[in-house]
This record gives sequence, structure tokens and C-alpha cells, in this order.
Amino acid sequence: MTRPTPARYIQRPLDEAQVARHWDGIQKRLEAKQRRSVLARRRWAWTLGLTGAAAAGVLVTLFVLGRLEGPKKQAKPSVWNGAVIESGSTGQSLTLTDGSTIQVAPRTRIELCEEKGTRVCVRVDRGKARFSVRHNPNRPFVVKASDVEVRVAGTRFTVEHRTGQGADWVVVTVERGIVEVSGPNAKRRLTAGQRWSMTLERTPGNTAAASNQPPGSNAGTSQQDASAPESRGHDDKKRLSRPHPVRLTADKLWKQAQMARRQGQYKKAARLFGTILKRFPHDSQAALAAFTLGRIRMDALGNPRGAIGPLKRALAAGPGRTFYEDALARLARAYHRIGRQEACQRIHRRYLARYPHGVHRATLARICSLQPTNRKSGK
Amino acid sequence: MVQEEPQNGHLSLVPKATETEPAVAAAPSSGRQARQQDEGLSDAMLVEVAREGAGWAAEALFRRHVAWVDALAYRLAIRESDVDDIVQESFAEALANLDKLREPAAFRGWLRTIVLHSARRLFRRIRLRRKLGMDNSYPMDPTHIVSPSAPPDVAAELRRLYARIQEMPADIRIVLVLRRVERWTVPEIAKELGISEGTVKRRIKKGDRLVRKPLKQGGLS
Repeated sequence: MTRPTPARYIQRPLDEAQVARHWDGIQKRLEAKQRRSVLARRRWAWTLGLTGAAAAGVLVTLFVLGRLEGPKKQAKPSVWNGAVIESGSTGQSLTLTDGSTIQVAPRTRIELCEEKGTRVCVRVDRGKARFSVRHNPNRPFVVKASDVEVRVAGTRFTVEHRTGQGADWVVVTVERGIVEVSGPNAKRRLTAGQRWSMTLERTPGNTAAASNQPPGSNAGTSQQDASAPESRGHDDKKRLSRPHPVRLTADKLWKQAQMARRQGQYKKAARLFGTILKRFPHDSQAALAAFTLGRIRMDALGNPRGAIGPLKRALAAGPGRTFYEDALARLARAYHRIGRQEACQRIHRRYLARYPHGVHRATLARICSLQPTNRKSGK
Repeated sequence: MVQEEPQNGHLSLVPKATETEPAVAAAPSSGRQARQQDEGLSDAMLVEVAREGAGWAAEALFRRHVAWVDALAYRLAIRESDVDDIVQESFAEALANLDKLREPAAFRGWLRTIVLHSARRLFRRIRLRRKLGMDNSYPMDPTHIVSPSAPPDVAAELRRLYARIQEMPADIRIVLVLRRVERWTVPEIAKELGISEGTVKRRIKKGDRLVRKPLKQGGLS
């Protein structure tokens, strides 16, 4: 028998009061970090402003000297710089010098605004393009569409830009990695499996104002929530213009649903998560809301049959989501609990194919290998 | 109908790490309740949601890991104020830098590294303050920190260790606690701290020598 480690004999009790004190202390430290970061950014902006003129003078001098002295070793712009690619009825594929690829959909126009060793910029003027970007944290890869900018450092994503009468519609879908999207009064970080969209209305002064309702769709409004700190506008001229003001946002519903869940009000929480799915089906948190609804119905409300729909909805978000494995296992368990063993076994096979060493393999092997029962109740 | 899509995710699912129960009293009522409500969500999922700004996910991560972080910090630092500093600073740093975590499922290991680095920074600061005469606090009496249930030989070794540990350089102190108290292996310590195994062994040897050094007259024994 092995002896316990000496660590076992050095301990202090940790009660809820101490945990709460820790959390308070952590919140204060986080606020202090944020304040320092804001001050540092302001200081940096001032420094840039004050030295801007001097730097410009130095650069001009160097440029002139450089032209006088002859060619220097600099990052050579690619022959593609300034190139415009306009596809017809068939799509096209383009490979950049670093190996990044752009797949241009039919009837799409893109422009390579810049391609150097230090920076790449592509503009999607119209249509849809899929980007597979090689990872390089020192070389920003920026995709622009209307007034929206997508910044990445190694990922795969799609940018779609549609133009209509008086409005532009931009949709960004991430397949792999993380991208940062910024637009008028909106800034968001998207991970794999997430999708973000924005409508920019053209005002008479030819400035774009962001709206949350793309024409002919019911895209989520989470990026327009004024309570989110990232969505505060940085340009006074481009303000949010909502033809139909929406009071209820996905973020607000999410917060209310989580609060209800933590307070043990499971029916209310289930209702709120259901509302998120119904009203904001394309919101970035919709899949997670579906998964949470499935969990609540299955665990707290004893309704495994009612959990199946939401769990399938969560799985539809794709295996890139971190809850995919859990959702798949829960779906199998839900089928087992309502007596549908053949479905349980089918999902079990899918689970094993994708997660041969998954954490749920033992449980699923036990329940899904049972003979079909005559159970009618799901509880 | 559930769609099948090719797996191309940057974020991948990793089996949950088996977590040994820390030897501390469980947090009662609301803390435990919050943990139960979030226990179906893996660390990876909570990290992903916390990155999107969901405060509840950040708190859930904190509550899930605070027990073992507090226990580790206590064995490294002993003084209550230092323990609180290490715990709070570690979580603040982790939660403020979730975007830098490449593998969300590895949150626990990443947090452990942050705890050790926070402890190291704190010990260096304290040692510098002592050298400059700015820290006049008394070291903790190790008699009271060892559990009465410890076997006599283990208790004696721990008291001897903790009587000297507060005067040691930060690097030696941390390595010695990880080896002699937490019983990590040399390769584990080397990997966690990002140093060579040879360096770990040298520090352990030096630390053991300092522990065996006779105490000054009137000191704790």
C-alpha cells in the first residue's frame, strides 16, 4: 500500500466565505488590469500622435535616400499586389506567396489590396470567398468587406459580401481557428463553428450605418447589443440605425436564462433557452443554448424525450464545437432512457467512430449494449 | 437530422483529465451548487464561453479549480496573505489571458503553470523586500501547519522543511516543495517549470543542504 504524499498533511480549510473573498479579490485585480491596459493604450496613442510628424519626416528622408542609394533588402510586394479577381459562372482558386489560399465563389470580385512579407490585405467587393490562412502571428492577414474588417493569424473562414439597394450585408463564418471581426460600433472574436453577420445601410451622406437585420434573413443580433463593451462605436459618424428596434437581444436572454438556471428555476431557464433558439437561431451562442436546454430537460426536468431535439440542434453546429462529444453522448443516453435502443446503439457507433478513447465510452457501452426494453416512460 | 461535417476544428475535444480530490474541506452550499450546475460542461467549453465574455463561465472555472489552487498555493507559501495573493493573482492572470490558451482543454495544466510562476514572482518580491528591510513580518511557525494526523517521521520532516523554506531563494523553494511535499518526479518538475532536469536536481540538492543546515540559536526546530 503506498503512503499518501506529505502534501496531504499540509492543508487549510477552504469555506465558502474564503472562496467568495478570493473571487472578490480576483474581480478587483481584473478591473485593475483593465484600467492599466486602457491607460497604456491611451499613452501609446498620444506617443504615436506626438511623434507622427517626426516619424513621417524620417520616413520620407529614408525613402528618398533609398531611391538614391538603389534597391534595398525589403519585403518585396507580390506580383499579385493590386490584382483584381472577378469570377464568372465558375469559381476560382488563388494561392498567395506564403501558401495561404483563397477560394473565390462564382460571381465574386476580390481585390488584393496588399501583399508583402509583413502584411496581407484582401478586399471582398462582392460575393463570397473562403480563406485558408497560414499561421504567422507576425504577419497580419486582413480581409475587408465594406466597412467590416476581419483580422486573422492562421485559420480558415469565409467572408460573404452582398450589396443591395441602400445596404451592404457581410457574413463571416469561421471553420477553424479564431478571427477578430470589427465593424461600425461592433467588434467580436469568433471561434470555429461561429458565424457573424452585419447589415450596413447606406445613408444619403454615403456613410454606412450598421443594422442588425440583413435583408431576407433573421441573423442574430448579439453583436449589436449596446451593453457589450466591444460593441461601443469608435466613429461618431457611423451610428447604429435600426428600422425596427429590438429590445430583447440574445445576450440578455442568455444572461436571464443562466441566472434562472443557477437559481434552480429550471422551467424558466428552459423557456428562455428555447426563446433564444426560436428568435436568434443564427446567434453565435445558439448551439450552446441548445445543448444547455437539452441538459436541463434531461437532468433537471426529467424529460429525455424533450431533450433530443435540442441536442440534435446542438450537434448540427458541427464537431468543431467543444460540447460536441458531450452532446453526442447525451443523445445516446436520451434515446436509451426512452427505450429506443436501436437509436442508442446507432449514436453509440457514431460516438466511437469519432471518439474511440472518449470519456463517455464506458457508460455508452454499458447502456447501449442492453437489449431493447418495453419502457414507455422516459424517466 | 443531424449533419455530419468533416472534422477540421482548431478546437478539439479532449477527454477530461482525471482530477484527484484535493485534501481540503469542500466549499459548502452555493459554491457546491454552482459546481453541480456546471459539472456537465468541460473546461474547454467553459473557456470558450468565457472568452466570449460570459462572466458565469469565468466564475465556473474559478470555482471548479479554486480548491486545488488554494491547496497548492498554501503548501508553497504558508502565510495566509501570501496564499491569497498567489490564488487571486493566478486566477486574475488566467482569466485575463484566456485568449492565449491554445488548447482550452488544457486549462488545468496551464493554470498550474501560472500558479507556480505567480508564486515565484511573489517570493522574489518578498525576499527583495526583506533584503531592503521593507518586510519585517515574522516567518510562520511550521509547528501549526502540519496536520496532527501526520506520521511522526513525516511531521518531523515537514516541520524541518518549512522552518527553512521561507528563507530560501524562490527557485529552490518551489522545486523543493514540488519534490518533497507534492512528490512530483524530476521530469514532471522540469517540464512544468520549463527547466532542465539537471537544474532541478541541482536545486533539490541545494535545498536539501539548506534544510539540513543547523538553525540559528533560538530558531524553530
